[in-house]
Amino acid sequence: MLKIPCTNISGVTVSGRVIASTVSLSFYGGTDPLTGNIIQRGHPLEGTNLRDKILVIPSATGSTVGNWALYRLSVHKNAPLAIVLSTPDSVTATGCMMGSIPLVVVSDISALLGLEKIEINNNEIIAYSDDLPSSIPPRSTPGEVVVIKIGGSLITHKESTVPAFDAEQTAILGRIIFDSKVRCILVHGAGSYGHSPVKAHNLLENPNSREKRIFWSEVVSLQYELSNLVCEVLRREGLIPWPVQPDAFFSMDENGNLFNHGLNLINMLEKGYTPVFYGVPMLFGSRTGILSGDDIALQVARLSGAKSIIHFTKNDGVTDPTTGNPVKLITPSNWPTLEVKLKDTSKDATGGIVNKIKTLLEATSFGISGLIVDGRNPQKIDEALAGNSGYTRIDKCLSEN
Amino acid sequence: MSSSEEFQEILNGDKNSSRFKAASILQGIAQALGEHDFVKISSAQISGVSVYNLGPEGVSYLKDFAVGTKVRVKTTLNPGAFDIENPPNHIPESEVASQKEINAIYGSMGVSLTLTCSPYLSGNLPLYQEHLAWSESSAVTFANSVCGARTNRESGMSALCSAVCGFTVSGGLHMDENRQPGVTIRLSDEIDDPLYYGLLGVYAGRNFPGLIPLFDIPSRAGINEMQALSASIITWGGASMFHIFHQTPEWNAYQIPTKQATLTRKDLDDLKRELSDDLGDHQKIITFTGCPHRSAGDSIGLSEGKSSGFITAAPALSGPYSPVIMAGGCVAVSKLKPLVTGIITDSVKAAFYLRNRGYKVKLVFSSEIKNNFCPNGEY
Repeated sequence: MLKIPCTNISGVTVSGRVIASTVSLSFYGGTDPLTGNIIQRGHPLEGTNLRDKILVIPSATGSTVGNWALYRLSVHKNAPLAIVLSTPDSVTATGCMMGSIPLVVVSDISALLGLEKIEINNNEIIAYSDDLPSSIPPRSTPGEVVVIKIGGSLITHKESTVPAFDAEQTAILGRIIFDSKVRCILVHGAGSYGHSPVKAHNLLENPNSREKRIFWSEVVSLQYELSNLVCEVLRREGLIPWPVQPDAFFSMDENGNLFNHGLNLINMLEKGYTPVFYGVPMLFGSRTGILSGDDIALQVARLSGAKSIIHFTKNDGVTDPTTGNPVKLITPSNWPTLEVKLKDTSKDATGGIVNKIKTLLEATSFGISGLIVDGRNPQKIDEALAGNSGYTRIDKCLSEN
Repeated sequence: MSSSEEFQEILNGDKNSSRFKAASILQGIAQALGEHDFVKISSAQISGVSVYNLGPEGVSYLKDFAVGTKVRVKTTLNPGAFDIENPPNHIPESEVASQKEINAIYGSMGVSLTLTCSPYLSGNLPLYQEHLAWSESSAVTFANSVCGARTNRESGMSALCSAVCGFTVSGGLHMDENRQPGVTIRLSDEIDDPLYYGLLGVYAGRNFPGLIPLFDIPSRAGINEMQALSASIITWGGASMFHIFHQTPEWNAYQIPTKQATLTRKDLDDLKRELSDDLGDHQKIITFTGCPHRSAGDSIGLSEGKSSGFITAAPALSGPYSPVIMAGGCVAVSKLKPLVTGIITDSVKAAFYLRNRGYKVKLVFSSEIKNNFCPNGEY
């Protein structure tokens, strides 16, 4: 049993299901009093209903008229059972008093993340052990590991000329992955932390001059930095990430073949960790190149026995450039035609969508299927993690399901 | 008897009165914030007047609350959504009627219907070290910084509760120790337009969220400049207080912060560009000034301009500008004419809220406003 001390302003005892986020919420404009839905755009709880739930957030933001929004929720019987905050403010307190919504203050909300159900009494919050989140998400066999590749353009502002991390988008993904209880290995791309310097300085040409080696060094440091930022956000959202340096985990021969240095991924997963890899520059023999997140995804899927790789990207799946229609299934037989059409589209430092699909097709020969899913859409992320086929599936067989 | 004991007396009184209800709300706020003391206030300023903020449920709550209730201190009111005397044609009758009803309910409690977000220009000027319960964020910052009065950023309802009780929850900016500046921000160039002060507030709020800045500026700020700075700093996440060397009353009452930042006028020009949209293709553009509400006698020298426009100000100040005034209204909560897509303004606060609501906004200097202005009062 977990007990957390709290200040319960109303003193009323409540118990119920928890909806929680580390992102602050604006009650005015961010909630719909007539339905009880959270409508704040991009909020991890967007689309969730407040009614009969215990809402756990760090603080409320926004206008000084937020109290009227809370009161209106209460009039329409859509108010949460209680609001738990770590940084209280007078606007929320006013609204809770007006709408008779129990307001509870704790010093830190992190212990409440991931709990299903809690009871709040006069001075403490109680979670019974049945409801405590297991450190190992329940998956029946080790075969059900999923490799998730998160596009660099999704978690960084890729157009930015300086490295710019998108913590909000990363938090949304982390939260949904945590909630899905899927046991996974994460691989993320570099986005504005790597691609722009690599392209701007033609780093792939004559990579051994002193000047270019200095740039490579900077790029490698940036990748470490990005991975640390990602892991920090994932921890806040409930996951237990284990950052793995791909250039230390793998070695590569002259032909680009990868060798694993023996870190046991299965063991790491069984202990409840989420290994986090990332695309990174790599020295192979005399050459310097990029070990892309896409390649890493394939290798770690093979090592862990994963049966699927899900790519979360900033695009709405793959679209046929001629017809403009979404491509639902890519197989070795329809690929050659599509490849010709797609080759004209723009490329980034790691080859864009064509290389992504090629790598996923390669994975099909090991019995691993691929999905390319719009990572900006919480519903699609959710569906893909639940095993539903996403927007574009890459598979060996010809049937669409 | 201490202020807190006097406050307790209200909680021992008639449990069916609105004053008891008000005191219970304040008590709840104190508990949530971990405060135990209450201070006597000399005035209150109430936000949450717009029909669009309150909704029908809010109006009926307010109506019940107002029965038999009078405010105990001078209390002034924020603007509503629009000018109820001259409502725009596209606003439905029912919304105009609701807005009139809200104003009347506040009036019945003894609240002065100043309908302005600049109460310090309309008969509610706070004095040095007075405690207040104000809820309009730009006015809170002005009262703390320029007047040297003391108020936290209250919600509209908590300000009303304080007005009815005569007390507010202590702590925060009511205490000396929380008024200490946290960063010195030096501007190396002279600046001469309220918009520059607005941009200075954006810089401070964005880069030092929640920290009280001590500005070192080589020019002197007038009322319009102080208003612009007060409105923008809080909108962009800053503290609801600032100090300026030799210009604000408490500038030398505290230690000079060791944390420092320096910027130039060019940095502010860059910010102006960043916060401005290109209005190129927009057919229906209006020019707007008066956020926060403009001061009396502050003529903007209207001349022939290109786009239609209006000014927001307190009804009491509407004389010199008529007929281009939106008296007692607020552009940030109003429903502008459906066809309006582009707005020209000298207020970064207005720009923030209007851009959030999907309008394209171009920032111009206050001195340029008159050149863009075609005063037919259409909005």
